[in-house]
Amino acid sequence: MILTADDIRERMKLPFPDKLVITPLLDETRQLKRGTAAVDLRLGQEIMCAQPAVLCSLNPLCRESQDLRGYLSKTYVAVGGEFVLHPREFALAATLEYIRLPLALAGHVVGRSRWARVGLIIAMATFVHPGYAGCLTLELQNLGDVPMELSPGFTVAQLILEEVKPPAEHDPGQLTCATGPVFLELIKDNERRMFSKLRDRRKTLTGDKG
Amino acid sequence: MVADALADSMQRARFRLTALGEAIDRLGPTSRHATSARFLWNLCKTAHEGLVAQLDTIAVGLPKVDDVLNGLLAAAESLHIYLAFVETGAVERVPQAMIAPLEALVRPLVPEGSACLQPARVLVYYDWVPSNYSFRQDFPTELRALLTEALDDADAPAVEAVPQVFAALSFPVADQSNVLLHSLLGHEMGHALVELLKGPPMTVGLPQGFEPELLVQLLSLWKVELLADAWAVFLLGPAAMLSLIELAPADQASDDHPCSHLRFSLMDQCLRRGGFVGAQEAPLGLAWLPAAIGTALERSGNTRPVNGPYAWAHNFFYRQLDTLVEFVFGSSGAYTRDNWVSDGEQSGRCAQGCHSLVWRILHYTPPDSVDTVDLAGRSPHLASVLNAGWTVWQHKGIWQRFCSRLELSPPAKEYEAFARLNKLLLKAMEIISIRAEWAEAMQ
Repeated sequence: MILTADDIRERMKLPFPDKLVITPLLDETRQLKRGTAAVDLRLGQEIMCAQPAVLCSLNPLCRESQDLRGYLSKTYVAVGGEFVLHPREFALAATLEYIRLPLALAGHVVGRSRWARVGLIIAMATFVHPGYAGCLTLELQNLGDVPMELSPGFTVAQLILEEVKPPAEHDPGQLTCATGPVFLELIKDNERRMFSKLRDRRKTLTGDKG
Repeated sequence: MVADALADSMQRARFRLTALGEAIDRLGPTSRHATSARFLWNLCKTAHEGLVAQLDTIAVGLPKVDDVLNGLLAAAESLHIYLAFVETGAVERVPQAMIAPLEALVRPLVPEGSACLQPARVLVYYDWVPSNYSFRQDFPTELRALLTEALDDADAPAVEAVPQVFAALSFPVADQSNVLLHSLLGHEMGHALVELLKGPPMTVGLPQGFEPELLVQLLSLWKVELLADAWAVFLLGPAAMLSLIELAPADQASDDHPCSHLRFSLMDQCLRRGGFVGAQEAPLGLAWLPAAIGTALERSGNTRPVNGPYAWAHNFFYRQLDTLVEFVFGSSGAYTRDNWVSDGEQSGRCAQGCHSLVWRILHYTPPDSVDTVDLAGRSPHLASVLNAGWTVWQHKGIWQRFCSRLELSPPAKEYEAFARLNKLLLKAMEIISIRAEWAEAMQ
């Protein structure tokens, strides 16, 4: 069941641990508009922009590629400042709001249609698991033809919340407490080893000296 | 030889200036850090141009007087020091989340001096002294000296542009991510307040037998430090003292700092004045505080020398603690027990008698995340956020609960948990700051 704005407001008044936290709601009336079924989220202050020139290719199996952090350079935009997203440029950002979902709620973060219509993609990996704590990372891309000036505080996304029945079990992995965009390991260590072996075997079989 | 070293130094300065200019550009024009870094960068650039011009003059055949060259070399070294200030100012944004609300606390105390505390221009963080937190009020004097050295009379306006009051606060790079230790900035802010509000007059008869100059120096420098401590408690309550306990050196008095025992005694009195300490008065969630202070006082002990100028100064100030506390707490706007309680007792929903800000941290939520109904839409006091953080960190039972839900194995557990605590506190401060800016813009 998808929660209405009124339901969301009620959930925010519950005591812990059932409490839903979305903070700061700088303009609660507008962000949680009566009659809607979502809460509007604002763009945060930290932006990570892709620097394609520093990486020849992105190999998720290469340990050194942990330095993908160098591939994404961090910029901090103050409130009132602006950040220009050029056509086809990719950037990671986070919501200004810090979210704490109780175990009985899951969410989907999606872009707002008005931004989509000018070519701005807001989020691609949209599911938020129950029990998640932290700011939500947004994947921005400008698909339009003109550069776009974005400012922290713009309501660019919305969070749609759904009830989870029965409530999920506590997963410490969800307590990231992220306060900015998070760049995760693409492949976990154990899987990386497995994929590396598969690649090596394939190379041996095909006689590719690499 | 000196000329070569000078030329080399100037070349390095040129590279650093270029790289820093680009780094500042990347921060964006509206970043607070960019503004202060750009301000200093411009001064350094002017100084660099002046020094290069003088070097060129020497190169075209003027006599190479050693004194002149050595003077220029010293100025070039100063330039590199200031470039280091720009460097750290340009790359680190974290402290600003704390400085903006701190500045808001200080502003009502010194409305006429608020210009000197504006984060955009004046507060610069650097790691010049790697293991030290410090306040530099002589900053403008040194900058002026450097510019005067580098420039000729025609460039006097550049020297005039350096603000008269220029507060520079520093802390070690290693502690940049430790938000709890940033409570020490309360003390450094206290220095700025002492600079502007001075202190109570103290009459003293200097005893015979000690070097009078040393005594006069001790009286003036210790007084400033003690007043800064009192202001720190005034602004931040227990957090100011707890951060000092965490970082206080062995109980040794020095020419410029009183021994920890004296400082803790003063802060203890300030906390009593603010209502934080006292068997009947300790509010829920801070009941552990008197014990923490007692341990600190015991640890610092009474190890001062029984005689000598330090002991004399110690005893003198020990008798004057009331005067110092009275001077500081005579001003309105202190952070008191009432603030802590009103920020914590939100809608009476605290479970297990735990302060609700602490309770929020235990649920991995920034402590400032108040519901609009709870505090009538206002944010909790910055000091409440810091004190909630200190409570989680200092209270063994609460800390274990905080760690246990992460299900990490030691030693990563402690480190990871502390990193997350820091993130929550920093986010809370950021929210306080944003809320204030937003409210101002909406008016």
